[in-house]
Amino acid sequence: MRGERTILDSKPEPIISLINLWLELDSQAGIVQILRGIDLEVPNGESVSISGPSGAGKTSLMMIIGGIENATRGTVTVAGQSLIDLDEKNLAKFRRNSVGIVFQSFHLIPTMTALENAAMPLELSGAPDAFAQAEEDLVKVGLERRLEHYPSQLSGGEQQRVAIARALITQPELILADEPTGNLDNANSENIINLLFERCAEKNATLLLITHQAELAERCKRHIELSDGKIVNNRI
Amino acid sequence: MISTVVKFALRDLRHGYRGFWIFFGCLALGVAAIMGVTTMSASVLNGIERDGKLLLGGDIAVGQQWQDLTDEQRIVLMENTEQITRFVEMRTLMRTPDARKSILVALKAVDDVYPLYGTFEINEGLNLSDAVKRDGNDWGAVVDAAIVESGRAEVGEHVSMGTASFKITGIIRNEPDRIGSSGSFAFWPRVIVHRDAIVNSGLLGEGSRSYYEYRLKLDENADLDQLSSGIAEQYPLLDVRDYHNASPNLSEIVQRLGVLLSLAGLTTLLIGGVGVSNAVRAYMDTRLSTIAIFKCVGASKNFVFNVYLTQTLLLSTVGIILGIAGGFAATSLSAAAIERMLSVPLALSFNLPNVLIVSTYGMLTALLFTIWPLACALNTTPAALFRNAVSNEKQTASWRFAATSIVLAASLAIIVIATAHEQRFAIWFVIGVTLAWTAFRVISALIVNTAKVMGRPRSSTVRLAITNLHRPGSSTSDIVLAIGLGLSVLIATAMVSANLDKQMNSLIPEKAPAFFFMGIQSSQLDQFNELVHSIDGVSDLTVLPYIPGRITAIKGMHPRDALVDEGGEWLIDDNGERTFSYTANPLDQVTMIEGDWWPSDYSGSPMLSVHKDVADSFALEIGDSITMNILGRDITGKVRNVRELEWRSMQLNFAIMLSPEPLRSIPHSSIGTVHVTEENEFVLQERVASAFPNITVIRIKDALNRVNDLMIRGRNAARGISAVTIIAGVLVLTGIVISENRRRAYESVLLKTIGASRRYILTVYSLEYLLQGGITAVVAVLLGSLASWAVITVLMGWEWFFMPLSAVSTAVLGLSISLFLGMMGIWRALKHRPLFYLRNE
Repeated sequence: MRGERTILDSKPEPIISLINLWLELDSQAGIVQILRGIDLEVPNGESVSISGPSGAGKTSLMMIIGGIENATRGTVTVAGQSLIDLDEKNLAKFRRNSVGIVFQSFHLIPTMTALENAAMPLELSGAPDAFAQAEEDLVKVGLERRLEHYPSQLSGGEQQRVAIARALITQPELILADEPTGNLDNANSENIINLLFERCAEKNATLLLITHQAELAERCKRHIELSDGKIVNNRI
Repeated sequence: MISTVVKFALRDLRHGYRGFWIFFGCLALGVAAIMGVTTMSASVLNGIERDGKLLLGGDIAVGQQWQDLTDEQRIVLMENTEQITRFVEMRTLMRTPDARKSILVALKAVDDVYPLYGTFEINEGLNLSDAVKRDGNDWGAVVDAAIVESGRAEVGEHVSMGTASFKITGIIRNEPDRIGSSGSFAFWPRVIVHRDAIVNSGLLGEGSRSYYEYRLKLDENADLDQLSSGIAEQYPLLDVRDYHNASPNLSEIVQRLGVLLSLAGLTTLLIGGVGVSNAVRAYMDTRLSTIAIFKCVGASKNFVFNVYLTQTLLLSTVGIILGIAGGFAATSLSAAAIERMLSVPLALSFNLPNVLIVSTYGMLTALLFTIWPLACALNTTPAALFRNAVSNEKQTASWRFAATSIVLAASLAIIVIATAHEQRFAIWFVIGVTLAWTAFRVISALIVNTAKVMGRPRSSTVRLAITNLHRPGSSTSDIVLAIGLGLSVLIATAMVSANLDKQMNSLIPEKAPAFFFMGIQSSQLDQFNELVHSIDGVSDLTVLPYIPGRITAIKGMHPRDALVDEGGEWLIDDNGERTFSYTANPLDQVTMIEGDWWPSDYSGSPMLSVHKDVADSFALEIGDSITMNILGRDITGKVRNVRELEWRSMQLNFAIMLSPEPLRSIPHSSIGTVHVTEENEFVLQERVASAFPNITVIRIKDALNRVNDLMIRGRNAARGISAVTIIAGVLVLTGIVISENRRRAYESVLLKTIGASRRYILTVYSLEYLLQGGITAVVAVLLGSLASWAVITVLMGWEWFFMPLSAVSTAVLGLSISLFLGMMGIWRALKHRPLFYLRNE
């Protein structure tokens, strides 16, 4: 089917391709179906918003795409790699090189400075210029005077900027953002979103964004709405 | 990649070391205990080796009991010898003007040459020859400080030994060769006089139990080994030692004690290991978010494991260094006290191989106890970051880590056994620890699983307490292990101590004789009897012949070949030298097991009455033969009966008694015991000692008090070590309680918020602790009793008594401490306003 579609559409290879994706979890009450047969293709460089009620499966979908959660069945291809076939070591490599994640709660390491937090993915890749690169990226997000500050010494907005710098430092093809402005005030939210879109565009990264805010969703090219583990709306 | 791992490990430690004091404390305490003990025993042994000549008092020591060496023997000793000194040692009563202060002493009568090595020190700078020289009618005598300190005599006072009079001229500050003395002379307070002073004192008379000692300083080119073995071969009955083996008994005791104390130290380390494990688990709980972030940005599981393993190694190294420094410092600080106690100059040195062994113990223990909590923390998934629900509920890891733990435990066991001086002890120790470990793991699993299937009791307090036992992340397993091991050691120590107390009390039987006499000559028997009976309050005088000899054959075989039970080895040690006695009539207070006594007028070929232990050790039956060499004559007797006797009744007795013929006609001395009323004890002592200078008069109360002192010292040493173990146990419990409290504080506050009273919350947690602790304590009483039984019977060879009161009271005390610690933490949490905890969430 997939080959047939590729020939028919003659479109470039999508960055995300999900075919009949299922996620089921065991619980004491029995098997719970979290995602139920998701089919999705996202072209490279596109920005996508995911919305839906609580429990719809948004975060689970994002975790599967990020190589953090394993699907129960179906096909998951991200950045040209079939995640179903990857072992734990290669999944870690995939996350390191192909994905950047921005969380609602920032999740910076408290014992590392802003510079060290941002440089961490490159350090893990063994890049010799990790710190120079991180400094450059932090300057781009406006934190040139906060390089040696620890997360506890930064405001929420500043912490999220570090997180964005960290997510983009390896120049991944895909950025996953889970309610990136959920813990920020309006002014900071605006700035952070602008920054996120700018940096993604600059690096030609695909942005997958979970949000409850309609205005924010509107800034994305594609809108996906999930409900009860299924895509109920997929529009451009 | 290694440098990245180290870099990340160090960065992650930037939050400080505050949370690690339990980790450092547990590890350092265990390492310090082992380091202290091993350094101390090595220092004593090295001291004995280094100062062998000093301790022996010469290059070679030659000695003999009962009689002096012959001229011919002395000539042989003079060959290749640059200098020779001779002295006599014996036990005798030092009589003071006030008879009640007279005291049995270890008398050493030295010549002008003594000592060949080292310096004999007396107070106020006196030299020995001046101190012991004759001054008018009195000879000088220098005495142990203990004699003066106990108020028995003082400097300047006149005393007498035998028929000789002495004036105490000084107090001994250092007798360089004290530890190299023969026999049990180190046991009694020392008095040193000139050899000439006792020549005509009656102390050296026939039958007097004197040791005639010679110390040789060899010519420069003489061959020590050749000479030493030459003398021993030429005169097999002489006791010959050289300075390489200055004090074999002390070396053996120190080595054996070293092993026991090291194993006690290792127990401390293993109990500390539980604390280390818990500290690491608590620490890793705080690192779960960091681990999830690492994984999220692409760090592999191996990388994360290596980061935290590196941290563990770094922290363990710090803990081990602290422990080694602490152990060495403790040894250095107590060196002077040990030197005084053992009379051995310590060769204190920072022994690198020892440090390496102790560090290996420490590192293997640290790794053994941290691998599992580290591995469990690795299960943290980055997915948790999306849900803000990072926790470590899955307390399990892959089989690879289980296998690694087994390899680490096995390595530790192998090193403990391989490096122990007495591997038998070490093997039993490893078996014991494994047994205890398994028992407490099984118990904790039983508690958890029983709690799971108990359903929902009606009482909400009981219900909560029971669910706490098995809920995810429950510390039941750790608490049971820590309390269990800690209590077992505590109970074992208490039981050993209580058994020692009981032994000490039972040393003085209700009807013990008051005096023990040695060296009564046959010619003195009638006079002795008459004198003793002339004193008021005397009863039950028993006198038995005392005949030294050797066992040369048993059932026609060499005694060693006839031995079937090692317990009887003491009978044939020292070339089989033993003492025998004869009697026509059966002895009092003897239970016959087999056979009967010979008729009182029996005068036929020798018949034997043997003690049950002798019969068991050589599988002797009625009619079997034993050959003894007595004064050069072989006498073979046949076993006529086997008897049982209570050695500790202090009734005069011998392992092998013979019928009177032919020993009656052989020259011999006798020994005796007598009962006397307390007010007449000193009258008897004074009159016997002055009338019969050659007879050694031992007041049994004095002897028992000396034994008591030694046993108290031994017990205190055991208590000292167990105190360290107890501190480790308390540290571990504190650590568990602290980490538990972090979580419980939140739970308690939640319960409080929804309306539970403080009392209710404390009752729930107390009940939970008591359920865990109560069951654990029962098992600990069993295991602790078993361990104390092993120490008392296997190591000390004594009878073991179960002391329920000590066991139960120790268990209750231990449990109360842990309960108190736990409740104190909860109480503190409950004192805070709920907002404090809830806002922080």
